[in-house]
Amino acid sequence: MTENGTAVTQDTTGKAKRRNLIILLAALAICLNGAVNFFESRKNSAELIKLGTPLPEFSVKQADGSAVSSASFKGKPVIYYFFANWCPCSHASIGYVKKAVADNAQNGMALFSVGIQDSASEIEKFTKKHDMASPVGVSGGNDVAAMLGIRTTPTTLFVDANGVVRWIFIGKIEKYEAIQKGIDAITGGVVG
Amino acid sequence: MTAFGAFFGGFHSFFSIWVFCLMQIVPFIIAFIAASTIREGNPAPEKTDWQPLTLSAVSVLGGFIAVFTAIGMVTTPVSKILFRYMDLLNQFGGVVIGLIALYFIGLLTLDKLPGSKMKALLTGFGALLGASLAVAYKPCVTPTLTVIYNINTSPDNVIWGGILLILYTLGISTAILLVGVPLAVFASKAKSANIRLYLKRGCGVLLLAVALLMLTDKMTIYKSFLVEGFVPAAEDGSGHSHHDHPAPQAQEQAPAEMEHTQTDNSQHEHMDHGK
Repeated sequence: MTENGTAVTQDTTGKAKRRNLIILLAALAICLNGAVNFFESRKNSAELIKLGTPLPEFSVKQADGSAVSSASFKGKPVIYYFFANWCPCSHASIGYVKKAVADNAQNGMALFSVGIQDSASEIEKFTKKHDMASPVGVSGGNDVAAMLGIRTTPTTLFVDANGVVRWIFIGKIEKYEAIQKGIDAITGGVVG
Repeated sequence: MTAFGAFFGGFHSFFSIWVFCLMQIVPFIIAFIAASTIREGNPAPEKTDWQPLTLSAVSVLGGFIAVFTAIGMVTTPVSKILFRYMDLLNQFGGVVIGLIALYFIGLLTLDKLPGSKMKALLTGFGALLGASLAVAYKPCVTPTLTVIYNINTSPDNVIWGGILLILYTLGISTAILLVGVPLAVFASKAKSANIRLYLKRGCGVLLLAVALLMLTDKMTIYKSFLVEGFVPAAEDGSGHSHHDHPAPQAQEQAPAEMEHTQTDNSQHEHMDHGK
């Protein structure tokens, strides 16, 4: 009985050790695969956004498949709006952002919206719901967000005509006055 | 924003509509604490073993607070490094949580360890799990977090911003403990060894689920399901309502908090104009 019992225990232990080894090898393989993919893509290699420094250039795809680059806005004050369709705060804030751009049309202010943390079809729903005529990135936004260090929606960046980030507002815009200073920072306080 | 305001903001978020957003982390933290406390086999424990419960709770929440704060202090080099390697850390975190899950399920076994080594292992597991969840967590910007994040965008406010983030997450952690500890105690006191075993394995399965979400980069789909499904839609800034529900932040936002946001933004402007 003792001999049989010992044999069974050793067999069980042997099986458990083999199983442990397989699990640990699989974990190692997943880590290595993740590391290889990450370093091959190097998608997070650019500088994060920082107040008072130029916004790193980026490009995203629009619903029609065409690419739009932040570089095409040089020379204009721009509001960059990062949103998601599932995010109630993104829906609540976009009206204020659109009003800011409309009020400052004579200053040449532009709006560049980028959907993140959502599928392209969901981002398109957002653009239709809010009747957005300005460029909207529906794909590639997640890479841009990772590159810039944007993790929450909505995040609103105020960038001046020289491409310098002058203001960052993270979260829901409760009232127009909350972003007034950001607007002033990129227009020099001149109402269009 | 006061220190108490940050703590209360975090605590209150757990008992508000924002709890659905916190569901990205809460079930998994409680599952870890419960699984660490439940003892397998007979006889059934007569009283709760507080040591593993305390160790697991402190380590998992400590790991979460440390990494969530480090990520949120966006002007610091540590935050920049974490952001740069976020995708990679998300993968590693998924693997770590997956291994812990398999341990609780019983597929990954460990040789019998002496008590002190077991405690160290439990603490290490907890800290890694908390840190991994902080990487995977995509927070909703509650009214309080909006203020804290906007304070953190200025390099001048780095220390105060960090303290506020710690206090905010301490508030969330306190609320999680208030709910999680009684659940863990209740689960660990089940008379039947089979029930305790199934509960422990169930906790492991829950952790395996979040590990798979992280490894397949699907955490945002889970988050969108939670927020879109349970948090009421809001009006847009033009005053047009997309649904009949009031905006949750509008309900919760204290006027004083927005005043602080504006003050903080003023600080940014002064800083920028000074450059």
